[in-house]
Amino acid sequence: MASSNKSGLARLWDGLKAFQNRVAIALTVVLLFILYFTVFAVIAILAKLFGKDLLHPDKPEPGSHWLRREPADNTLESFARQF
Amino acid sequence: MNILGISCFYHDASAALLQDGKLIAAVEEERFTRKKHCTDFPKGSIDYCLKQGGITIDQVDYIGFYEKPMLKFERILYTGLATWPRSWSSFVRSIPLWLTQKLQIPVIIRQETGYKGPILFVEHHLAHAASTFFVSPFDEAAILTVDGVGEWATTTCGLGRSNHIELTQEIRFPHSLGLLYSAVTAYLGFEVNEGEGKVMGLAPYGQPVYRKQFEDVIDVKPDGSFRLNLDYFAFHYGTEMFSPRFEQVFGPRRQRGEPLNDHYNNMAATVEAVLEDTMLALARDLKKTTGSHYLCIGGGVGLSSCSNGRLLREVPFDDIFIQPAAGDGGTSVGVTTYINTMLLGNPRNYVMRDAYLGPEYSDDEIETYLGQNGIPHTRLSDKELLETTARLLTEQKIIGWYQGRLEFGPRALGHRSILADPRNPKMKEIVNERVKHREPFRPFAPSALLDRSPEFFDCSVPSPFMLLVADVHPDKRALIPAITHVDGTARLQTVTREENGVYYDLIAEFDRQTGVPVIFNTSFNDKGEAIVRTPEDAYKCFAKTGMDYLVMGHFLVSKDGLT
Repeated sequence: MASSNKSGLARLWDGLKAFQNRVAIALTVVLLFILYFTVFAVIAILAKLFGKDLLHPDKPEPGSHWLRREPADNTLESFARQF
Repeated sequence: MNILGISCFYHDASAALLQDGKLIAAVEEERFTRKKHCTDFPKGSIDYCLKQGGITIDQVDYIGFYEKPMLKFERILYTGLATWPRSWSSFVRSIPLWLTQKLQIPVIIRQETGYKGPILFVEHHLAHAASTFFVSPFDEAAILTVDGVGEWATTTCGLGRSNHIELTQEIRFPHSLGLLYSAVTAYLGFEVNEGEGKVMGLAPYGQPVYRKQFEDVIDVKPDGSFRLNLDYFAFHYGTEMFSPRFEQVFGPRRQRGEPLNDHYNNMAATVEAVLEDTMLALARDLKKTTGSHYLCIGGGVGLSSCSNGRLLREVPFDDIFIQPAAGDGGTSVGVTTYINTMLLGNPRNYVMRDAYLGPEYSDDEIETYLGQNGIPHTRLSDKELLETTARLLTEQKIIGWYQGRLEFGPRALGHRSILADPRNPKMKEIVNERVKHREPFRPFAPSALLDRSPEFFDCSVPSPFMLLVADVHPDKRALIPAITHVDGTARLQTVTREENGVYYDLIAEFDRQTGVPVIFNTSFNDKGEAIVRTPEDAYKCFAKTGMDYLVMGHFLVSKDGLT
């Protein structure tokens, strides 16, 4: 009987977790939708209005598509950063 | 000094351990999880590296990660903004993963390993560059890294000299040779990050008849730098690789399982020709600007053995070096060597002469496995091992060959290989149908004794990692038809006794019995599986496929139990 109750509770818990997961996914999508179609929209539209090409901020040298790289800052502090 | 390198959460997760400048262990996580191109955190790989190094996680001085996550996230956000509102589907799929996983790298590393020391983040293409130059035999070399994309860079070039690497130029996302190739891979109905090798194998069946149309797809300058026409692509904003425009110009995509035809063969030939010509232009310009005698290549495009073969033949570098895991799997090695050499100033004292960096299982362990599972087997002496295996090959048997340490990288190099007789003109079809269950157009590779390979192949340098395609001499093609591709080439592995003793001796014994110092070698796995790691993996693969014999260590197992 105890085992059956435990099994039932476990099933209930699994069900709640699955429900919670679905709610979390739905909320995430809603929040991202709001973010994407408000904040992102404003930035994207302003960038387009001002002619800013976010994918190509730097211009290559004439006759080439190469871009010059800045030398790496080879210090441990620099490499400890995620950026 | 112990430095642990980690690569994960994109494809080909791996770990590597550098001890006092020497690479002690390196392995891809797919060999532990059995999921090909596994992206998971490489827990199994890390545990193996620590065990192989005889240390615990507390004795690791630095952990290096193979990219700078915030820079990559910046690229995701900028691309989302630049392609708004088309980027919605990509945005809603990727952002949750970034917030819960990819921006939590230090937390995940510490949780998974218990590590408390410093974690360093090496830019992706620096890791590729270090993964090739710092383990190469060259004191000075031009460096070229080409892949799909790292943070922003997709292609970089520069110079390595002694203990120093400097990458001076780059091409940035979305302009990517790797992603162009992947887009055509998807168009041809193959899986991205898996089917690129199939496209390379398919290319010789077609002609590059779409070169003119591709001039509108990619603009390549004389210096090899390039820019994609984004009208043809969708990978930067959506979940597809190419846009409707691509299909308007080149016709409908091939659905998975749909028969191949001349058009698709020609598309494969065209993208392969574009890739090779662009790589040649990049390398020629690098030769001109650096004056270096040698070239080191890193990044997934470095696995393109046809391109590598042409580079060697057509660009006046004396030699080129590509490490066996040139793709993302190899960046775990790159971060360790970069930290050790560039950041800590330690001298280089290691050259990667072989790829045998993974786990090994002793004869005792193999015998225990066979015994516990009641698998009939015969123990062979050293001499019997070679003579019996070579004889079985001459009798047209297909043999699972399992010896020593597992290879690092996607190629089986005689430690986890399936072997057969290259002289049999039907052997390619037999192995494709009975064992590998893969597309009939895909070729198989030869392993040849280095000192005898010039008799059969037009290749002037060693090719220990099977990363060079060479012409088979016309008068030899009929002698080794099973490994000669439709265009008369082969993806060659050269073998020396110093680096691969038992395998060398086996090929030498096959030569003694047949007069041919070449054997047919393919990776020990079935379609869609990772290469086997343990004796159990090997036996299961052997049991379910059409191999005739399994040779593990000094033990011979027969499919019908008659040993």
